[in-house]
Amino acid sequence: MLFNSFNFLVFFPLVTAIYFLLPHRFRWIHLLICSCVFYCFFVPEYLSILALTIVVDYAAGIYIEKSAGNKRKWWLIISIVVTCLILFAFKYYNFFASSISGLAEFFGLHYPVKVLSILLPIGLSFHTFQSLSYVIEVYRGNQKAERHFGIYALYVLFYPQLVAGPIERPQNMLHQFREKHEFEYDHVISGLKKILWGIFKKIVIADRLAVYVDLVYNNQEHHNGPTLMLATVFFAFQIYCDFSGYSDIAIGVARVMGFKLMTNFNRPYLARSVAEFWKRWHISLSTWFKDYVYIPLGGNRVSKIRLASNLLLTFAISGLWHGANWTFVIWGTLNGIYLVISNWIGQKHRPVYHILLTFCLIAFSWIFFRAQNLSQALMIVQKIGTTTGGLYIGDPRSLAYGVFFLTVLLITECAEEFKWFNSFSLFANDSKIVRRGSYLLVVLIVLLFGVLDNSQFIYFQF
Amino acid sequence: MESKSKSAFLKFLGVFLPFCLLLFICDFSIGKLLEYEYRSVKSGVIRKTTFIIDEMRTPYVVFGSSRASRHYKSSVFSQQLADPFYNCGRDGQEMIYVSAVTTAAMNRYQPKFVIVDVLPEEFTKSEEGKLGALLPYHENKTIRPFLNYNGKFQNIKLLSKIYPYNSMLTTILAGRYGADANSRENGYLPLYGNKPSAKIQPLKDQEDNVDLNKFHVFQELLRNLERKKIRTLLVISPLYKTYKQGSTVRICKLFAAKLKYVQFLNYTNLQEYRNPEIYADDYHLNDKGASKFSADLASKIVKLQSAGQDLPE
Repeated sequence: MLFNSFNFLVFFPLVTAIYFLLPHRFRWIHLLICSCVFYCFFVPEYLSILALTIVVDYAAGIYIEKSAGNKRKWWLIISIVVTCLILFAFKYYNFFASSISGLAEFFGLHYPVKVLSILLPIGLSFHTFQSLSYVIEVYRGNQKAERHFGIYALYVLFYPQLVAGPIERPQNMLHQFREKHEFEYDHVISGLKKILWGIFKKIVIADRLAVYVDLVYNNQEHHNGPTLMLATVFFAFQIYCDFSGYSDIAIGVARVMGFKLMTNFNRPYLARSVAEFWKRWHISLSTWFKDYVYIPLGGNRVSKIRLASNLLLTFAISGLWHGANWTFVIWGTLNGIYLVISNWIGQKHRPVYHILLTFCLIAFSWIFFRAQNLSQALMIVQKIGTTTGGLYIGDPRSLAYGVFFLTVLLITECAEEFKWFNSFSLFANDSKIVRRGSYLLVVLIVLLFGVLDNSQFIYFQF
Repeated sequence: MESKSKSAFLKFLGVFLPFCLLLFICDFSIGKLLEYEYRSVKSGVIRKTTFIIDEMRTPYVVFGSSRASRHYKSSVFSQQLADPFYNCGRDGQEMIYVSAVTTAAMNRYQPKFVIVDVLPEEFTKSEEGKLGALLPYHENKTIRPFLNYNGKFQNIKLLSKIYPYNSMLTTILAGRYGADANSRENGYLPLYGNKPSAKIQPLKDQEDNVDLNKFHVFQELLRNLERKKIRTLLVISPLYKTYKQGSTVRICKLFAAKLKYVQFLNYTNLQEYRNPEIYADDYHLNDKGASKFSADLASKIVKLQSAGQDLPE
C-alpha cells in the first residue's frame, strides 16, 4: 500500500483507532496483522519470503544468546548467510550472472546465462538490513534476544517503516512494542504535522519535478547540456523530497501511535561537505554502514591508505545495496572518492559557499544513480560538459509549480538551519491561528497543486 | 481507553473536527470559484474541450492526442473536403479520453466523418491517472462512466470540489486571460522548426501486451459509431521511427475488417514520410509535414466518399 494512496487514507485512521481502542496485550497482534495486510497490497506471495528470514533470524538470535565461543559466531554466520542469500537471489543473481557473462564475452568465451524472471520483493533490502542489525546486536551483547516471536516479527514488519525504512535498531524499537502507548495529544498532532509535510514534499514537489526529470532523462539523446544539467539538479531535489517525504510520513504515522522512529534526513543539501552530507542524508542507512561495515573494517583508526580503501569499499557496497547495476556501484564509489579527497584536504571550518560546492558534487553523482545504464550516464556527463543551447521547458505548468514549491521548501529549510526571520515557523508558531491556518493551507496546496496519481516512491525499488 | 487518553482524545477532536469543517468550507468555496472560472474560460485547451463536448457541430472531425492536434491541419481539410473541419486533439491524452469526448459529442449530433488518430503504442499502456482533463466534466452523464478508468475511488475523490481542478489553476488563468493559443486554427496546433534524431531509429521499448480497459472502450466507441452509421477512419499518422507493427495495428485491422463503417490507414514506415525536414521531433510533424500529410489524407477521404468504396492503400 502506498502512503500517497486513497487506500492508506482509510487504512491509517482505522488501524490507529483500533490500536488505541484495544487492550494493550492485543495491540501487537493488531499491528502485526495490519502490517501484513499493508504489505499484501503489493505482492502478497512475497510475505512468505519475509517470513522465512523472520523465522531464521528469530531462531538465530536465541541460539546466539544461548551459545558460547565459536558456536555463537556460527549462528551469526548462518543467519547472515541465509538472510543475504535471499536478498542475493532476488536482487543480485541476474546482475552478477549477466556481468560474468559480459566479462566472458569480452575475453571471447561463451558463458550462457539463465536469467531468473522474478520480481524483487518490495522493501527486501530494508528488511534484510533491519534483520541483520538485530542478529549483530544480539551477537555483540547490546540487545537481548527477543523470545516473543510475534514481537520480533512486528519489529521487522512494522508497517510504517516496512518498505523503505528508516532502518531501525533493535535497541530503539523492540522495547517500544512492549510499552503501553496512550493516546497523547502532542504525539498525535506532531505526527500528523510530519505526515502532512511529508505528503507535501512527495506529492507537490517530488512528483512535479519528476515530470520534467523523466521527460529529459528518458530521452537524453534529444537534450542539450543545460537541459540535462537542470534535470539533474531537479532530480537531486526530487529524490530528496520523495525519500525524505516517505520518511516523514513513516515517522509521523508511528508517532501518532506513540512510537518514536529515528530521524532519517536533516536538511542534507545544506551540508558544507560531503562527509556532513552523509551525516544528514538517509541517516539510518549511513549509520548502519558505519556500525556494521566501516567500523568493523577498522574505521578511522588505521593508516591513510587503509582508511581510503575502507571508505571506498563501504560506499561501493552502499551503492550496490541501492540497486543491482553498475551505475549504483559507481554512484557509491564516487561518494567514497569525495570523502577520501575531503579527508586528505582536512578542512574543518568551511565557509557557506561550500554548501553550493557540496551540492554540485552530490548532484553530479546523482547522474549515475538516475541513469538507466552506464553508457547513458556517460553520455549525460559528456553532454553536460560539451553541449550548449536553450533550455527545454516541457510542460511549463509542471515546471512552474515544481520550481515555486521547491523555492518554498528551500526557504523553509534555510530559515530553520540559519535561524532566519527570528526562527519564525508556520507549523510551530506560537499563534494557534497561524499554526492551524498553515496546516489548512498545506492541505489546500496538496489538493490544488499535488500530483494525485498515486505514483511510486523511488526507494520502493530497493 | 483510560481517562487521560479520553481527555486527550476529546481535546484532539475539539481541534480536528473544526479543522475538517473549515477544510470542507474552503474546499467547497475554492472549488466553486474554480468551477466558475473554468466555465468562463474563453480560449485555450479548456475552451477547446468544452466546445467539443458541449457545442461542436462540425461535419468533419479528428480526435486524438498531441499527434492529432499537430498533424491534421484543419484549413487543408476544410478546403479539400469543402466542409468545415475541426481538430479535437489534446496533448497528453489517449484512447479513453478520445472515446469519452467523441461519445459526448456524438450524443449531441451526427458528424459526416470521424477520424480517430491512434497512437503507435495506443493499447499497450494504461491510462490510469491520466484522465484529469475529464474531471471538470464529471457532471456530464456521458463522461462520468469514463472517469472510473482514472483510478479507484473516483466517486469519493469527487466529493472534494477542488479535486476536479487539480493542477489546472494556471491553465484556467491562461485561458481566462487569453495567453493560450489552443483554440486557434480550428483546433490545429502547428509546430515549427525541425529537430528529429539524426537518423531514423526503432521506436524503443515496444510492448505487445494489450490494456483491456482501453481495448473495451475503443471497441465500444467503434460500435457506437457503427450503430450511428458514421464513417470512421482509424489512422496511425507518420512517425520518424521505424515501427514494429504490433498489437495496435492488429487491433485496428481487426475492427476495420469487422465493422462496415470503419477503415484503417497506417502511415508509419512509409518512404515518403522519412524526410527529416517535415518533422518537429521524432513523434510530431511540423507545419510543413502536417500540410503534406493533411493534403494526402484529405484527398484519400474525397476519393473514398465519391466512390463510396474502401480507402485506397
